Amino acid sequence: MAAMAEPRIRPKPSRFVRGRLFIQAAFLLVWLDPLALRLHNICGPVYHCYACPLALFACPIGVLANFSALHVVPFIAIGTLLVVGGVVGGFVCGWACPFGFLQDLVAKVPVPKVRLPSWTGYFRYAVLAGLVIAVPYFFGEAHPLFICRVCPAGAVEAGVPNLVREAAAGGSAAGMSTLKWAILVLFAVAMFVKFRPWCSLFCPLGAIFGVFNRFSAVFLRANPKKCVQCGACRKMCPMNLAPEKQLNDPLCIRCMQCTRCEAIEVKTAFSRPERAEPASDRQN
Amino acid sequence: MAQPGEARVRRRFRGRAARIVLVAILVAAGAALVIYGVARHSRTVLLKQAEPPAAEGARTIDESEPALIREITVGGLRRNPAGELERTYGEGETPSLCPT
Repeated sequence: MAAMAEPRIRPKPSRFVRGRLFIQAAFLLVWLDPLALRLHNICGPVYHCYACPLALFACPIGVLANFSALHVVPFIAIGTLLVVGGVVGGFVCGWACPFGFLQDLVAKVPVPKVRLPSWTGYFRYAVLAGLVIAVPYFFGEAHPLFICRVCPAGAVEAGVPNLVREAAAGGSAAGMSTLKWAILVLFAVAMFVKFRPWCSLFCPLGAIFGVFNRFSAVFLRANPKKCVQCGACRKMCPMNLAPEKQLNDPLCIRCMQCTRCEAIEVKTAFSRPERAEPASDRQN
Repeated sequence: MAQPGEARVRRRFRGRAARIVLVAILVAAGAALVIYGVARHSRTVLLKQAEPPAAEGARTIDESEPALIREITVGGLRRNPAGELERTYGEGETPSLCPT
């Protein structure tokens, strides 16, 4: 029992986890359409506004909302989300999303961060049901609460770059609405004082991928025999989850910081279960 | 009689099989939806004309779902009060900006 009392925490995350920012940057390069392909008839799996001058794919949330406004079923967007969510779930948020990457970079600024209870993550489903599906369906894309009109990702990725481009070209630079500017400023401040404020409170795409966390092909698993209930994983989780209990919670972005604890490991649906240990080992 | 460790491994095997089946269903369903959307799904879109067209003279085209996605990324489609999809721009015009 003496061995059980020692927390089994690695001094540093694995090299793969430490390289997450580089992997996010590599994905960003892909989303920024370096070959100028402009594949806007294909629905992408990440939160990247299609009005961005450098967007490779169409934003799935923008497609869902606009198709809802048109009263057309978006088969391609739903299919894309099912395939990607079924395979990797929330890993998209933590490793591939350009908007999440931006928030991760800003979060590196050493400012004390607010930690909100994890149940606030369920507000994302209200955003998904309300601003992405219901408001467009009943009021059309002209409603001020249509998701694209209030989306900070659109403001950062599309509004500001287009404003600069128009101004540089000597255009009118009429730009974004006052509401959008206000959202942008609020969001910019929030990024410094809260880790991933958009992802943890509002992101409708994260809400969708979060549902898949429980049964995606790639997932996290805690080994109860190795867990000593030391609570170290809670301190490591930037999303304020309790990983030993909420390992596949919808709010988890799969940053894998908790895998510093030896009790938590990444598994795939095809990983072979461990063999039964000898009776003498089981007692420890 | 099965040892407790063996029972746990057996449960894990069952959970693993269930997960594989569920993932396979999700991926197959998603792929089927994408293929249907790309290959079969299309909608009739009214083309914008300079003058109000006569009812029988309204020009329409069938647009596939990828084409619809491309149109919405540039604010090129809206639903009119009659419930039909129509283009927001005419021939030779550029589409309006999207809501962003």
